[in-house]
Amino acid sequence: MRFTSYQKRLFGYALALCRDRELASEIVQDCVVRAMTASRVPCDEPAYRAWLFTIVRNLWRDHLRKKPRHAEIETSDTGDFGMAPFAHEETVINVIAVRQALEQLPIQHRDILALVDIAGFGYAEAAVILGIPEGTVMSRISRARSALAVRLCDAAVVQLPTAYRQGTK
Amino acid sequence: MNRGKPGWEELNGYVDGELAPAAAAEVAHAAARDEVVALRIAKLHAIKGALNDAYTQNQVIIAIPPQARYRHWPLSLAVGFVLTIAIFAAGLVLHKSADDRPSLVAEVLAKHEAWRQQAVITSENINTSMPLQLPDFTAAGFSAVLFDRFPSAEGISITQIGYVGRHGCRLSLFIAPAGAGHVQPELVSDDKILFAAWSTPSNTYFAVAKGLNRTRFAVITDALRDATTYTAPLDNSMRIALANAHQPCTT
Repeated sequence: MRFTSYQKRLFGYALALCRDRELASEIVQDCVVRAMTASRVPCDEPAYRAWLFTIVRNLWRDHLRKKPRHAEIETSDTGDFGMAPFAHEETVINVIAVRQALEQLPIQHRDILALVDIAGFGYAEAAVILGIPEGTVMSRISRARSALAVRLCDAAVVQLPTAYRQGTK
Repeated sequence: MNRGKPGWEELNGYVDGELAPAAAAEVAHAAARDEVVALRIAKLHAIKGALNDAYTQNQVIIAIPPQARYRHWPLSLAVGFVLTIAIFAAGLVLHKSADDRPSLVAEVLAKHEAWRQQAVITSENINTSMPLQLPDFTAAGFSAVLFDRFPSAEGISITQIGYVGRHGCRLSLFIAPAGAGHVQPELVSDDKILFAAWSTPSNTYFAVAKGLNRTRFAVITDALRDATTYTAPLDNSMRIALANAHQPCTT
């Protein structure tokens, strides 16, 4: 029953990647099948968990290769946002708003946010799965959260004092 | 770190628990001194929590009509085996469909459709009252709620076992004596109807569902085939596959 405990998070990760419940469900299903029929399965639990999420990620990438019309357009949204604009008085985030905001992000942001915040991986594990240095994970996750926060605050942006934005306070 | 005013990356590293103890302590001190830093940390925690909730809690899986959204055929050997069974079964008994009587497949499809139109009546004692051992899918979310016997047009006694999933999906398992049955391929041309057949030395089995994702149907049917062929309890891997097969029917 190793797979069961990760099922929800695998689905959440797949859904964050593809933004399509049906496809996410199929990807997770295929992941189960691959896991069940694999000749070699990682023994230790962290490696097994990373292995499962890597399968999901590879299945998603396979899907993109097969369906170029669904291919993600890498936007210029990966730039440095710096400090995100926050409505200071509002700390309760609407779950639906978060989902909508995440779906607007480019795949690179969704991928890292899904691995860290949905799947629960640490930076080191996420770096292995993504095949990037750990330091890149840290900068990428901060840019992704900044982009997410921008979208969450679109309707209620509270401009930060200039001193904060310029780092002089 | 820029002492007293953590940068954005450091704040993110802090809420993710990725900073070294000394750096984390500096962020904590900054938050204690500066309300804006504290609010940023609170907001990051809120986003992190909301993201987790949004994608891991209370997920309602919405099925799309398979004809419109079906993307690829199943990958597994297990699933492929079921398909092979269906094709093989069709080829095996095709030569028998030479008269005007309704084929056995037509009859079981009609029976399943008739049951689908009825309200589900849960029978708590069905497992104990049945004269045969049911494949047990309780742990995988499927309950047997119907046990029926009816004569076919050829006078063959057919047993129907109706399963209902947690999301209301219905799947019928029909059991006929070995060698029974006429299969007409055109009867399964509606891709919303899913059909598989297999045989053991003593029985012929037909599984019928409508509106299920085909991959899921194949996985479920494979488990049924195993259960009826080997009369063994489901192994863990199959339970997992079945548990993942929960989806509402699309029709």
